Amino acid sequence: MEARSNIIETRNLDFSFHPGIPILKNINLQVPAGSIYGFLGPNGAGKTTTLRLLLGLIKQEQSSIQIFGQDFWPNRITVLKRIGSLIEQPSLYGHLTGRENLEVFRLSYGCERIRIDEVLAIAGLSDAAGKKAKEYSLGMKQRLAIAIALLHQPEVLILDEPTNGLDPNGIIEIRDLLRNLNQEYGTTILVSSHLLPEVEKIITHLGIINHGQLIFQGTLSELQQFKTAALTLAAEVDDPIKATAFLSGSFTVIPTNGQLHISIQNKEQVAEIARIWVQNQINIYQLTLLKSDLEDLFMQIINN
Amino acid sequence: MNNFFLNTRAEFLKAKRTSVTGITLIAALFVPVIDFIICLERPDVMTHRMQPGFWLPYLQFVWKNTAAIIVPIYTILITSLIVQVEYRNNTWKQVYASPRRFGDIFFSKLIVIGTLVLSFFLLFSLFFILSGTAVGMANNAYHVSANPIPFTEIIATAARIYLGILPVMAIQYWLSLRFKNFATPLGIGMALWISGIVLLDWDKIIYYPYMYAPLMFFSDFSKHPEKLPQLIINSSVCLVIALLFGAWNIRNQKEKG
Repeated sequence: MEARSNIIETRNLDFSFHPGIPILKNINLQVPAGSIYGFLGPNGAGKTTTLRLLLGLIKQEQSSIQIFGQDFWPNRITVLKRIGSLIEQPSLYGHLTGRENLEVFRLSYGCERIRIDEVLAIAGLSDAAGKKAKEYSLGMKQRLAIAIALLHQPEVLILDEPTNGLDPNGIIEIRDLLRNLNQEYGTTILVSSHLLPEVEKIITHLGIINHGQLIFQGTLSELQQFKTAALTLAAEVDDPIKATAFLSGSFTVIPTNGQLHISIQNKEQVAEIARIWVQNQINIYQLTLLKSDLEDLFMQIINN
Repeated sequence: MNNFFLNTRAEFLKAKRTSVTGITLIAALFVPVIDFIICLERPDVMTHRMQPGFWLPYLQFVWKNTAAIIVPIYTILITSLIVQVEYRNNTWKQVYASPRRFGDIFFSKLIVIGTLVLSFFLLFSLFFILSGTAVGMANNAYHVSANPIPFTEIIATAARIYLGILPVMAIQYWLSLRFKNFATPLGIGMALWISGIVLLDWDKIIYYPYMYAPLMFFSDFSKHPEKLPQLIINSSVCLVIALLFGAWNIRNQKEKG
């Protein structure tokens, strides 16, 4: 394992398929070594495009992508030898058996034949190895695809929505498999999803992308702080000047269109503000918790 | 080089249990079987047509439809089918995300197609010999056993037509890589082949790659000996240009898989 803080790093990564229509804007992804990094965002936010750029599936030789401390394009083969991947739905040859699928990629990765049995065991597919891949259930296909990604014992796994379409049991199986890989083998995992509940139990870090921009990157607890910082309370009172004075020092208050917009950390602070004003004979006509676009986005990602 | 060899083995494994082996076998068997039946059913006509010496007239008889129809259609079809294995299974992205050079990916799959087409020619030649032998065993009037099998002529004819079809294989391979839809390269290939049949009497047909295989068979090289080297050069040049352009174009595609 590299003695580096970030195993994957992009600097001001921009991308567009057509001039003037940017898909990714200024993405600075930082995936720490040994982490399970959840890459979250609603559908169409740019997650898959980012992951495809990281794997060289989209050609942009001037892009600043560093993996294992090396620029990607000049070192494409060396870097890909150390990465396992699963992009969108599983890539399997349906007419071949599970074992034959693994053999195809074993030849490309040049690893020992014994690895086939090892990854079949890791993915829990030893008994189904002789079955054609097209006869597998979706969960088995996902596990076989992950087994393929693990063949060459990669240091980094890049998985795009690996739990997509799976039933709750399938999601738990994949989650356990990823946790196990991270804890037992020290594999760094970059896993994308459009729902936080699907991955929040295993991730150590996360990045949130929306409309092609990385709007948050950090740990789960940092996300919580970031989310609550986005709350705004709109208040209509009889004396805005006095009401502002009572809150000064504790809250940031901005007068807006006859209302007071107050930045708060959590919903309990609404009650606290109301109490202060009532105690000081300020008449309250209206209190509204404003929903920002950012909050809507969090609701989409965080709630199932 | 070792990696390229291993990746080519992987490409052969991908063709396992697909329809390509069956199609190759049927395509190679079809005309020899039909012509065997014709010889059995119409000895009154065929015993005269298969003179002198049976084998050379029979070789011409069997290759006639094969060179003009079976070989081009088989090559167009088999090339699309091999590339479709990746599109149908949605596996291109996994192939391109594995540590393989773009040239390795391009040429290792091409070797599978080239080998299949070559095996068609070998099987066809074998079935030709078996078919001729069976005709002789079924009807003594053809005097098959009295004449030696012309191995040199069999190999030379097959080799000429094989060289003639290689540019079509290269062009179709590039088209199959470019278009995800199976019908598109197949349709373009068939249209170009049919256009070639229509244009067969055109004096510039020697520059039309889709007719090189039929020309390799139908041209009378004893009357026009200069045509053979010209066809060999044109086929070889077209093959090299199509391959280099195809490899360059696929390498520079913005999005892969």
